[in-house]
Amino acid sequence: MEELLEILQDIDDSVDYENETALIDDHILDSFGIITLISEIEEHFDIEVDAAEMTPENFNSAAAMWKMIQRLQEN
Amino acid sequence: MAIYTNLYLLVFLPVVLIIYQLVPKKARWGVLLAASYALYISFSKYLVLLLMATSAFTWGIGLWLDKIGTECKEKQAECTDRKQKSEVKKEFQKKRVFALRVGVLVLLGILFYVNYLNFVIENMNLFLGKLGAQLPMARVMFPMGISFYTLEAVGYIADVYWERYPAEKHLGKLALFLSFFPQIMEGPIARYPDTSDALFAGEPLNMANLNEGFLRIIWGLFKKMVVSDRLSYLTTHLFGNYKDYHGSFIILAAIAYTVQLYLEFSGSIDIVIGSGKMFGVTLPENFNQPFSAQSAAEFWRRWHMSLGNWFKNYVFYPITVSPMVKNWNKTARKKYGKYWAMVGTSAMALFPVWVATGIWHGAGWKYLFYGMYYFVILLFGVAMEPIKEKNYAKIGLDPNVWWLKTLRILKTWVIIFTGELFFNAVDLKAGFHMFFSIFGNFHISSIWKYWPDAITTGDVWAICVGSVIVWIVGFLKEHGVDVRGKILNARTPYKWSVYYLIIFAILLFGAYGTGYQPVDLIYAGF
Amino acid sequence: MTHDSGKSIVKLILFGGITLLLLVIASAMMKPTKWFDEKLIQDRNARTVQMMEQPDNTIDVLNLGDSLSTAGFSPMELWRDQGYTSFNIGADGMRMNEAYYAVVEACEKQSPKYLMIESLVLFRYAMGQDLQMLLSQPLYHRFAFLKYHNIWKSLVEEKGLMTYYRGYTINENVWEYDGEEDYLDLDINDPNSKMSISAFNGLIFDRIKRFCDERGIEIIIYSMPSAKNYNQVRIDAMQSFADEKGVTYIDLNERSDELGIDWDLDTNDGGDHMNLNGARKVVKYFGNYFREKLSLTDHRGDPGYSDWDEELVEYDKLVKEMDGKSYLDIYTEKKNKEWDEKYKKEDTTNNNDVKK
Repeated sequence: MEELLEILQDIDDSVDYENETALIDDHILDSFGIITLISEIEEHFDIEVDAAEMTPENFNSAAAMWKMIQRLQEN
Repeated sequence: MAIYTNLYLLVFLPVVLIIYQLVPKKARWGVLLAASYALYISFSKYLVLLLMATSAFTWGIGLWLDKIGTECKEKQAECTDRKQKSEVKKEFQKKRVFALRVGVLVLLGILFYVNYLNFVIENMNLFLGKLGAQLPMARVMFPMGISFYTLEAVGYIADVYWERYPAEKHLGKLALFLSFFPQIMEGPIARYPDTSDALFAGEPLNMANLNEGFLRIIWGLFKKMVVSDRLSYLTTHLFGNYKDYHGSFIILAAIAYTVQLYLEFSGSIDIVIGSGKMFGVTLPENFNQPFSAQSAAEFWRRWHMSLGNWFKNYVFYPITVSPMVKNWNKTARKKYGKYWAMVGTSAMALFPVWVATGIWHGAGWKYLFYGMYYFVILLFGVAMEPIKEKNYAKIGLDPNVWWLKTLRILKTWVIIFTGELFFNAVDLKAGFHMFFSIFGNFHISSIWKYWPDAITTGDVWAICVGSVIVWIVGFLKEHGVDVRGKILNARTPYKWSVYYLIIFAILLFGAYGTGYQPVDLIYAGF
Repeated sequence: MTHDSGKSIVKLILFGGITLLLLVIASAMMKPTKWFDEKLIQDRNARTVQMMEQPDNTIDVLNLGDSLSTAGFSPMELWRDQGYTSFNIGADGMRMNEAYYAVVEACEKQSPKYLMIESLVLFRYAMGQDLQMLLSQPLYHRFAFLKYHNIWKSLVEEKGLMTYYRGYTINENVWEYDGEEDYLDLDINDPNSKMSISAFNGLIFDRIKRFCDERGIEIIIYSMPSAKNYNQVRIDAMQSFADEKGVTYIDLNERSDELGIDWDLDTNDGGDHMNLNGARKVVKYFGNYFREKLSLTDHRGDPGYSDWDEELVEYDKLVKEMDGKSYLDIYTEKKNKEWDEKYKKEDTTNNNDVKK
């Protein structure tokens, strides 16, 4: 989780990721931020994020992202 | 029977509402479906069969995808070790991809045939003409709303493929989702979970929904009839006779068309959403004060949002995470660094999105140009983002200071107006002609001299006052004051007073009457 | 029914009732001729408003139809020739729905002997639009507020140029027809009209006929000379329609030699509409037609009709003034003159050829 927060801070450091739950719905993370984010988490956590995972629910909060990462690591 | 006509508003909608309320809850979705097909037949006659066939086809593809998924799980359950399991999955994955491809290709194939075949033939003939050969043009009837319901159907199939929700078993429910009558003409493009349950549930009408829907509808009519329809005289004239006009007139034409399009499109979407609301169906919003946007990218998050979301979900993201783009990204990060990898990936994902957005509006080089125009601007925005941030930090300027915000909004306006100029030009050549003629013979006074007679002083008054009212309401909403909610929560006498005020403003200042040719919806033609 | 839904229904009915009441009040207040100079009204309602101002029971002939009918028939000329009183109640692009209410409204204070219907209105057809009008026309008819809603424009706009003489506006422009001489053999392609009379228009015609029969008004269908709008197919279709309905049909295209129509001089837009020259010939023909039937009264010299003589003088004066021009010409001239005065100074300081 720490690692994920670091990645997120790197993309935009003005956001309180621990408490924000509408990163996508409120356009805090834009489409281009997501591009960077995905390549970063794929590299760090050695996972494959495919098109099916690209839903707001998976990216709206750091916790949701973390859940997705763990799920993908298990597979 | 278009949704802004009195036939729809005074007869069709009330009758459907009454029948809906009178039949038992379980049958109500059938009333909505029958009404939807009836409205569709009034536009496109027997082409309703195509809509029905598309619905059945989409339903079938969904079930097929589901069936493959179930079989896969059954087979997997029989397996003992993990490796076997993933091999089974791979095998079935191939089948699923095949089903997805069949579904998407057939749907897009029909859309292509209807919208673009003649454009392709026309351009091939330009080339073939030199060789002395000519292909005959195809005779194609235009099925109303095909650009909208096709996207909904493709989205549904893709979501089922990605297992975001299970396939719909009930054909009628899916058919209603694709054909719901307020939406069929010009969207908004919904996703299946957005509306399907509410459409199918058959909840009884209630006063809160009726009030909300009604207010929304009359507000939409106000935008269209008082302002937009009057502007259309001006823009039709200026864009039609563009060679006679230069400089200030072309700028006026671009601004007028943008305002016309916004008020017309958002106004008719108000009628659509209001109609849906009356039945208790909440349709997705399509506009969110687009002219408050501080960048082109933000503009597209506020303008025709349902289309932007569709492209983001079904084109942009899938491309972003496709193996090819990801591999490229990985290599590029090592080779050129994070910044250029991000810009390159953005370009690769944005390019198809904007080609598609452009030609989705129609077959024609100007639409392709319109898409490319935004591709270049958005990519430039992406590339500049980190550089801008650094510079602001360097000179110690707060990027959110009010005058910078205003400047950015004005800059975005210029981008929007220019885009719409090309968008509405007769063709691409005319678009360039108009664009370059802005810079020649610029005389503000010529506006008064050569003012087209089709627009009278009264029209100008109605347009200006109407626009200002719409602007104030939007401005308040942007700053957190929900005028609509305030009206709806007011006590009945106040609420009704507002209703009567709007109704009589439309009846007095609206463009209608005998001999008045109603203006067709722009987006219904796409 | 629950208490709540009962309350809701009461509310809905109350809301509808108040809306209706407000419309009735607003319509009662909407008296265009009371508030404004009738000349201010230049749109489609100009003829209706003027018709309302005519003394009761003084109009003997109504002329109905689209712009073909209003451009090709001048009531002042009929007055000069024969002393018969007539009025143009048609309008540009008129459709049958609107035509019905034009007749009904004209007959509120008048009891004409003849209703002349220019036939093109019967060919006009567009299902969607006609259905719309089926709903809107009765509303406009019942609620003056809706019909005259554009009147607020008169307050902010300059007075219009056109003068209506019993529904006729002078047009002296000459633009010759240079197409095939035997135009009746040609095909016609017009997206707004058909080559036969639709059942829909037939039904409304029946309605008009019933209305007229009740009041003893005789209907005459006629086709204005128009190279752009008539051919043998249409004339034959109209003839059999008229036979079926038992009304007289007079086609002036086949009679154009008898009328003396000169396609070089008598049309104002290349064979579509008549100009004043053409209208005079059409009126001459109908004047003789009515005289031979001996069914109309010559009102010349009748003190009750002196306003016709007064208006004829004005009409002749304007005919002379316009001197071969149309209102469009006059309007353009006026605009240019205004602009010259306004921007003369600017132009001398800035010698660029200002384009629009």
